[in-house]
Amino acid sequence: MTTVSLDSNFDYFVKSSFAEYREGEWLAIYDNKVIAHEPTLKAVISKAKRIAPMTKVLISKVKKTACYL
Amino acid sequence: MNLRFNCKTERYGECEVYLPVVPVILKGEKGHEPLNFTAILDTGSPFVLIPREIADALGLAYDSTKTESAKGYNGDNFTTTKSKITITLRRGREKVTIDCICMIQLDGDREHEHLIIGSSFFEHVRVDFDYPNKKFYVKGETKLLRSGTLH
Repeated sequence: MTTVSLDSNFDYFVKSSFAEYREGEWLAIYDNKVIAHEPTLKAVISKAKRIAPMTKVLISKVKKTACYL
Repeated sequence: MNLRFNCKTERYGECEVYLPVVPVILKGEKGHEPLNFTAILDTGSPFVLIPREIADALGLAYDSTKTESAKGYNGDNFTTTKSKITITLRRGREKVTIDCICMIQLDGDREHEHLIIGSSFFEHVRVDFDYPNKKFYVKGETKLLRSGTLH
């Protein structure tokens, strides 16, 4: 059994494309899966909190186009 | 302190690019729990740039009447205001925690997908890019003990 950690959630993030989600959506990642995806940060935090400890949940936003800073 | 990260590979059409994305633990004001986000290292940005949505979730203190203008790469203006944030980078058992100035992006329509980790963070660490091997390293040096907090 693999221990869930911020490291393991980040490793999953780095390996994944999230092509099935809409650009700009917020994602909550935990235990090698997306546990919540919502258009607002507030909504994704609220949903993720009910499923997993926020100390280990990684939050990101879906990116599909090249972005120049 | 030596944190090693793999680059995030993105595909744009036929091209594959590697991005220096890191997980950051952001801590705001007391009473608000820390949250973990992805952030991109951007040596060309002067500050850590945080969307207002995240600043509000962390309870960061800021004055939205004291604004400063900023420009994106294409010259578009957006409005920012200054705040302070505690950022922790962690990999395995090693971590670095830094209190630094951040700018909160008040306009909501031109946000980058990741938080931008700019110069106000880099002044505390050394970053080595090894793009041929799709890796990069965030390293602490002796002087960090005075300007940041190493654990």
